[in-house]
Amino acid sequence: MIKKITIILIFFIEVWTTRLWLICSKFADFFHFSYFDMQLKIEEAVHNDKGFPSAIARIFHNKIVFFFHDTSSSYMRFWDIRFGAGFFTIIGYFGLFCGFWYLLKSKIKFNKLIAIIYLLIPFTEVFRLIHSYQIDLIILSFPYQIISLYGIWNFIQQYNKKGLALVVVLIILSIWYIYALPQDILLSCFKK
Amino acid sequence: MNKRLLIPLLLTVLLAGVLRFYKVEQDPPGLYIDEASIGYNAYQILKTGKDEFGIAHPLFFKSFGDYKMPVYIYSVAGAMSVFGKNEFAVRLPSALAGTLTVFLFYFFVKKILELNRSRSSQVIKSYLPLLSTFLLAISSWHIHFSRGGFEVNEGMLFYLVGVYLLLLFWEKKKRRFIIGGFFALALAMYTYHVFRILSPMTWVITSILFILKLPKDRKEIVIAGVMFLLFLFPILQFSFTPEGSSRFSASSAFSEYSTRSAQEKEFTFPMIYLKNYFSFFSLDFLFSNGDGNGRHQIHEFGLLFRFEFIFLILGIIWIFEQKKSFLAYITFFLLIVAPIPGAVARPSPHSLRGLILVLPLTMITSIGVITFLEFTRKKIKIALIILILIVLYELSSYIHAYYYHYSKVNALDWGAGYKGIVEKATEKSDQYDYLIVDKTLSFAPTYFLFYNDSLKPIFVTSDWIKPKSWDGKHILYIRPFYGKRSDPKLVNNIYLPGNNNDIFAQLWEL
Repeated sequence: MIKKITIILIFFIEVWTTRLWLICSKFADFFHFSYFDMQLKIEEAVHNDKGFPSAIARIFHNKIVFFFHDTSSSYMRFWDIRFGAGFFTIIGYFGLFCGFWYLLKSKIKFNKLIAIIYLLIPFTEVFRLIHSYQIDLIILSFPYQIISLYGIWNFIQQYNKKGLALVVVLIILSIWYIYALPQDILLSCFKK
Repeated sequence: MNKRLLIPLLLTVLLAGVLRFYKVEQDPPGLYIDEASIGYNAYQILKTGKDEFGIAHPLFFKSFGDYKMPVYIYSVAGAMSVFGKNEFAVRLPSALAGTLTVFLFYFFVKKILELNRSRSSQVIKSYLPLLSTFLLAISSWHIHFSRGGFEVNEGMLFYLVGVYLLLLFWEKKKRRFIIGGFFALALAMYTYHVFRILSPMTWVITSILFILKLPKDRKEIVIAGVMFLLFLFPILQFSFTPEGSSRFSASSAFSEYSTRSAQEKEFTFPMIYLKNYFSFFSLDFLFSNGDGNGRHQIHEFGLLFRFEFIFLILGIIWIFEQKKSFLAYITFFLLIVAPIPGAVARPSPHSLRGLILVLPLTMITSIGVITFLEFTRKKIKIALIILILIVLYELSSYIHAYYYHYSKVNALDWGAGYKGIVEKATEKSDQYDYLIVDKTLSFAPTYFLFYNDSLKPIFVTSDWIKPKSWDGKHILYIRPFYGKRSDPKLVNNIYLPGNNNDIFAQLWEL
């Protein structure tokens, strides 16, 4: 029973944390890929190669490489622990790792495909496929809340009392973190 | 040692040496302000036995009030006795320490595997030490800090020596290893500030572990512990003086919250610390942008290569799957303790204060590479070729960026331009009665001391006006560039490296 109550409590904490993000109007620019920005970076890089054989410079500075660099940078921002602690909460972030771990270890049909889809979701934000912040917020939080609860549930099933104790500590830290550093949300989004 | 692995190991160390020493005196471009200060103090020690403030053989160097640790400065003094007062001598101890760290890392990883009683695959046992060494040799993070006069790099070598000797003690139970190990940890403390926390912490943890697990050797452990405390005593005493804590006060992560009430501080500080601690594991920090300080990494490069990301994940999965593995314990120990000192300071994350993270991350990445190759063993040749091509591309891309872009884009971060000022001032000094330098060139006093301390410039504020009593005197006035590129009274422009003809400072005749 106590395990179920813990899961419900975590769910409420995660939803409550997501609600805090409603003070914003959109996510910060570093989450987004910008074609214009990429072109400027290429131009700057090529400019610094003055006097260097252009054929070789092209190998290092081209649209394919810069596209990969820029999209991966934006994508990694999404998994940044500083963003995650404020967006998913600390317990939610821990749950995410557990969720992926148990998902990949499970015998659920298409588990790897599900994991890949989960990993691809942030690209909706990287390429700005959705123009409504509220829908963005739901897409970027709700699926991860589910997998995080799945992970924590499996974790406390496996480790029983010790697992539960760790989860309780992380719940306390999560609430403490959000209350102590509420302004940190604004490092990752624009206020309304 | 397996003779089959000797040549690859030597080649790897040679590669590490080339990557750390090639053009080290000119890339990065110019000495940054701390390097210039270290260089001048080292030179003074060498020539007079005193630091720039006239204190004989100090244990802590006042410098800019940050009280630098002594070991690196004395190492530079040694280098200067052979190579003279120049950029190469200032950076030599760091580049050498970087190369030696790569060499030692092989034996460190090998020793961990020898002590590892849990079952790990033969491939891991055979290839992990060499692969880890290779990845550390080409690590952009480690190369970068080996090429500047950063004390942390030398400190990391001593720390690694210390931990390695403690592993030897664990294996052979010889007194000399534990004493040597604790001595090396103490030496690390006297090299860079982060080890003032890391070394005592490692001493406490290993001592407890040894006392519990090696009850027969308690006498050795206690003797070595007492010796460590004796080494620790001067720094401990110093840490409680205002001078000793000045470094902490100046860079404390909590100082910006100093106006808050005590209750608010108690509530907020632990979470600030937690945030700072976790920030060292931020993917953006590790793989994309580093800590944002131009002196700490190349623009557009993170601290680790992007190809390492997938192997890092595979390595972490492998480690989590191990049960009672010594390799996993040591890797996690280093991973967990490395950010502890850095998280107390700001800005956070900080690639210099977190440099020691490069060791466990390299080990985990190497495990990931081996796991990947084992996984693809049916098509291992194709996998290996693709992997080698990716590594070659990333490495050559990094080298290209380092030698062709970095000196142009980040010239100001490295104080490039100041050397030019002093050289021109020296060249012209005979023709002028007074040398006046605008204080807006804020680091100029240190660079004048390092490059030519016989010049005695007068430093003035920007609103300085020539005194009437100086009419008829020849004055050379050095100031930053304010927009005028040519004038009859303009003696020289000091340009920054790069393709833009950016002027850093100008020499005017008054």
